[in-house]
Amino acid sequence: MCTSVILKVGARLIVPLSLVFAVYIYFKGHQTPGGGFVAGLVASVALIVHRMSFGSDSLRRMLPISERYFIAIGLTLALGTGFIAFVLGLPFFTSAHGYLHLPTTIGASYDFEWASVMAFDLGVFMVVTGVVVGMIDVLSKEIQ
Amino acid sequence: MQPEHATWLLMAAIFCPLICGTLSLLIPRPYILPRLLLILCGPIGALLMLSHFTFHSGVGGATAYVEWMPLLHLDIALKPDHLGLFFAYLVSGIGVCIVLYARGYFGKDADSLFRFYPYLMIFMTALIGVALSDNYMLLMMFWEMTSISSFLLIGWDRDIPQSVRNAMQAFIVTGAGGLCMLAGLIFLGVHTGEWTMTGMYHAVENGHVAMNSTPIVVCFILVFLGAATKSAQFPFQFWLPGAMAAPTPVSAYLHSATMVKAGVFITGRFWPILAEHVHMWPTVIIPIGAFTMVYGAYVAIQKTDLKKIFAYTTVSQLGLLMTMYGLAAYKYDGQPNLIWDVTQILNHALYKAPLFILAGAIGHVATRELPDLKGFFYRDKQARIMTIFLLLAGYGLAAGPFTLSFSAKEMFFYQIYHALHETHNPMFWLLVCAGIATGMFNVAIFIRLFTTLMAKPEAKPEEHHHDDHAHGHGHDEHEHETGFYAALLWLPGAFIVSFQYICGIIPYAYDTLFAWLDPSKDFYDGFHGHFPMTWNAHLGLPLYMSLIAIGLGIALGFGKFLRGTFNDPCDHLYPGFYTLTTKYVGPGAFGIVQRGHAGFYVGAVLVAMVGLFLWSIGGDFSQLVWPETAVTESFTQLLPGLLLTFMVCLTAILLPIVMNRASRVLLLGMCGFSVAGVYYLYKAPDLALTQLSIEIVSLILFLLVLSLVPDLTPKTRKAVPARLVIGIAVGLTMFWMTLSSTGVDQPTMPYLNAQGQNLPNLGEYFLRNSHHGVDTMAVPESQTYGGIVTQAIDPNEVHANDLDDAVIHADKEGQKSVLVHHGGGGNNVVNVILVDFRGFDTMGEITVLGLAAMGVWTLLRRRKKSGEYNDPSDFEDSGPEPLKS
Amino acid sequence: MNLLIALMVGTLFGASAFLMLDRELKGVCMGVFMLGHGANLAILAVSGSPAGKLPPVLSHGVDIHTFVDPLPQALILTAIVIGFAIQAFLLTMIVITWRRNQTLSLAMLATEEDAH
Repeated sequence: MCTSVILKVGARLIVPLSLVFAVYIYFKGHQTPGGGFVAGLVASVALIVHRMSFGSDSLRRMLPISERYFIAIGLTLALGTGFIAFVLGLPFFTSAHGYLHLPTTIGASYDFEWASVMAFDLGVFMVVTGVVVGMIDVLSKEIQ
Repeated sequence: MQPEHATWLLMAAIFCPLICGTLSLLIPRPYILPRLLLILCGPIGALLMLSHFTFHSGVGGATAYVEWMPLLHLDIALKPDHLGLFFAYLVSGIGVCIVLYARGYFGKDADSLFRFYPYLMIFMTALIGVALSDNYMLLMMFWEMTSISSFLLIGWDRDIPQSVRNAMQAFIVTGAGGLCMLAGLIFLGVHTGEWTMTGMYHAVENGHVAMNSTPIVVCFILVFLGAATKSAQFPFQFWLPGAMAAPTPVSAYLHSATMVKAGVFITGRFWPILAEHVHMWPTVIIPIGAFTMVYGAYVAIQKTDLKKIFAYTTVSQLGLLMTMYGLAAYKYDGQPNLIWDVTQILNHALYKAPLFILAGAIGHVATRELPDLKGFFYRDKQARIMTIFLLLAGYGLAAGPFTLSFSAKEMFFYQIYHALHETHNPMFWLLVCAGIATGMFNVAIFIRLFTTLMAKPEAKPEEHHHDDHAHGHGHDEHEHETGFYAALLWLPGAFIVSFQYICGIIPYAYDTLFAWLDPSKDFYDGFHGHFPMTWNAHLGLPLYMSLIAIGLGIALGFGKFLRGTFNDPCDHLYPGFYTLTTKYVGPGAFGIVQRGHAGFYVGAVLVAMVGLFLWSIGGDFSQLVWPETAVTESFTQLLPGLLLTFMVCLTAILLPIVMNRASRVLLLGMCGFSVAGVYYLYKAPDLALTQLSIEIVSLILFLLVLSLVPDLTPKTRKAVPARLVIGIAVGLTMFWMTLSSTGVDQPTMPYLNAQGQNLPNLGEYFLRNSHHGVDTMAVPESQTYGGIVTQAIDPNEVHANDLDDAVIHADKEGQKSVLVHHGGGGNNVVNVILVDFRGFDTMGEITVLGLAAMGVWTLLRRRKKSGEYNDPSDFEDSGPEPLKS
Repeated sequence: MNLLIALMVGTLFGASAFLMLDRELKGVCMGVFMLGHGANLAILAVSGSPAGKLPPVLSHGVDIHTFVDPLPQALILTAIVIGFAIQAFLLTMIVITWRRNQTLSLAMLATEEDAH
């Protein structure tokens, strides 16, 4: 695939950054604006940019599994969080949350507030990424 | 037994078959023995789990309960009472035999077994679920699962249009009944406020529910419709013989021994609630049941195909069971007139399943057409064994002396006799005649089976049909098994039928083996003393009825009457209905609205929208008062909004005008980005972020698609005035509706804040409970939604806005106590709503996303494989054949 | 602000109605997307004027009534993503329709349908 050098150089810079940013807004999504949907979209934009600059094969090498499995895994994960509550004898999709004390380099510990729905949000993240990347990928292949 | 353990054991019993069935798909196809063993684990596992339960006789036994969605009454409530446990036992017990029989039936056909067992296991789970569920909605879910698995199994030969038609017929009939039942149960639940059977029993006992009111009667009729379609009552009986297109293991299992009894089972579940209170109960059920009983037997005797004969006798027996529950409405000796309902159901399974199993076996080695089976007994050793067991089972069908069947039929006659005795209603003499007639037909069927199979063989050239699957689904190629697996063709049947005789001949065998399953056993014992074995039957009307039936039956069996083939006129009901709706009424009615032009549909919707708006204001434009809230900001505050409004409106107006497609895509993108800006202005950072990323992706998508579709020569577009008018009218309508909706007071919510006042809107509830809650709702504690209740606190000690300090005090104040519960644990309320409060919604949404993606992949992949789309034959419907005159 | 958003909703709906009555499939598709934007904004409008309010991200010591209503936002977030899925599906359908029938004109598609 013939793409411009500028795009390739830009992509090298942008793609990792966007992926990190996606992970960041996923983790912070419960407290500040963000969340699984946005994170999934940002991640998929990054992956699509990668695909556009380096081609479909490169994308395949980058992802450990086909993006279609993302959807299956994400859906299972999301449904699984519901079932965990159910197995504990609570209504479906009951959530729990708490604080995670993370040690930091500056001494004082950082309290990360976790919630069980983050697993659900991770499912959303994976489904969105899988759907968007998969759709664009299959349509791009049609052109070739 | 601890309730929690009970819950999990019951859940395990229900889902054990399904899990085994699913796991069996992981075993590679050629490994038949491991597959068989794994599948056997399903019903056997279920049996083991169920065996932990002692029987609570009578209704209202302990229930097992897990909350699912308490606010919507969707909970997993299970009820291991006598009837449910009996039914679950029946399903899994017969299931074991059928699994083995299927192995003999399909032989070494690894592909069929691979496909067949999981379906069978879905069914088994569904039916055990039906038997054990207490909650209406759970019941309905399993109920529909049985319909679906039945559909899949009837349409087993998916290449044969007739069997697919039969499957659709069965599915549509039982599905329609299921919908009626769903409506009835929802209505019942809404009307009484009880969503479980147990709750209903208690409510009825305590007189909380006004029975006999019109709503209850309507519920009863709707529920009975569901039961009647499932249990093939007249005039819906036609689907059951049609369902015989399924492989014989399915016929033996679903369509005789278990699934068709589900309707009877539901009637049995409801009779304690309805029979004594709804006066219509006997007048509806008895005539339908009795007619079905006689009619089924009458048709059965005139059929020649073994499976058809047994199918119609099944219809007849189902009618008998329904009548039995109908008769329960009367009292005898101060007790409901219901004797050994469980025994009746069991008895039928104990002879009908073997009949089907052996009919299938005979069909497997020869043919199923009775006239061609003349002298089958003398063919070879295997034939002899099969004939003997078929006749033994047939003797059960005829309710001959020394079988369990004989006692069961006596019990049924006793019920009629009791009703006659109590009410002195001469109409019951009709029922007496119906009982005798049914018995007579059954005896005659047995006599004819006997005389045909045992007739001296004529010198006829030996020929081997393999007609069982005359529809040629390819069993013929499979070599027949020998040894143990070949014996599996008849062994399960022989095993089941042996109980008929063990219980019929040996005194007290029935008592030890099965009678503990039956709650109404003591009733009979109360005044007649003992189980009515054949040799100590009481003289009286019931015994005379049996004797008359047997005498007449023998005469009819040898007689020349009713030997022609008679086709049930109801067979035409469904094809007729289908033809009528799809060929005449449908096209006529739909032709008016379904024009096939997209513009017409869209135009109709839009015009209707504007029309509804005009109608809602009554055409009186003076009502449209400019709301005061239209502009509340100063000009400088409005400036960014003005700019964005300008952008959005400009792009929206330009889009229809510009013809260049690249420009159009860019305009669409501009519009999307401007909308993202609007979200930002509206203090919705999540939305702005999402919209921005979505807009990027959809621009890429659009460009991709446009490059796949060639640019057509730009048409000079004639300005269509109609479009313009509709567009402007829609725009004005929406403009006004949006403007006026912003200032309107919203209805208050059923949630209370810390001061005990209703919250003004739902958004406030989410805001308050997003991190952790300090409010409660005006609903009972057990139904608190959105979090786990930790403790109740005094409302006066909590300040509504103290989001962090409200977790401490515990003091309950009446019903409106303030409950502190864990909220979503997040500060970003939008995200908490999405993943927590409305998690189900989001779950559905990502499912839709996944489905859309799969749709895209499938659509685009299909082309690569087949190379063409335009094959209308793919889409041709496979409805039933039009009516043949 | 209410007036402005109503103006936007009106224009978007009007334009999308016009586009959806187009005789060509691509135009109809664009109309559907505009409709999505319009509907989302209409839902957003219900939360009232945002002036002087804060985004629905909780922080200490802030009165609950100073936040905008989060519910419409959550609904719209769902709608945006679903809308995207529908968009992708529709666009794929356009590609398929073109390949099958070599036309995107609705009139011609309708007549072909009749011919079957």
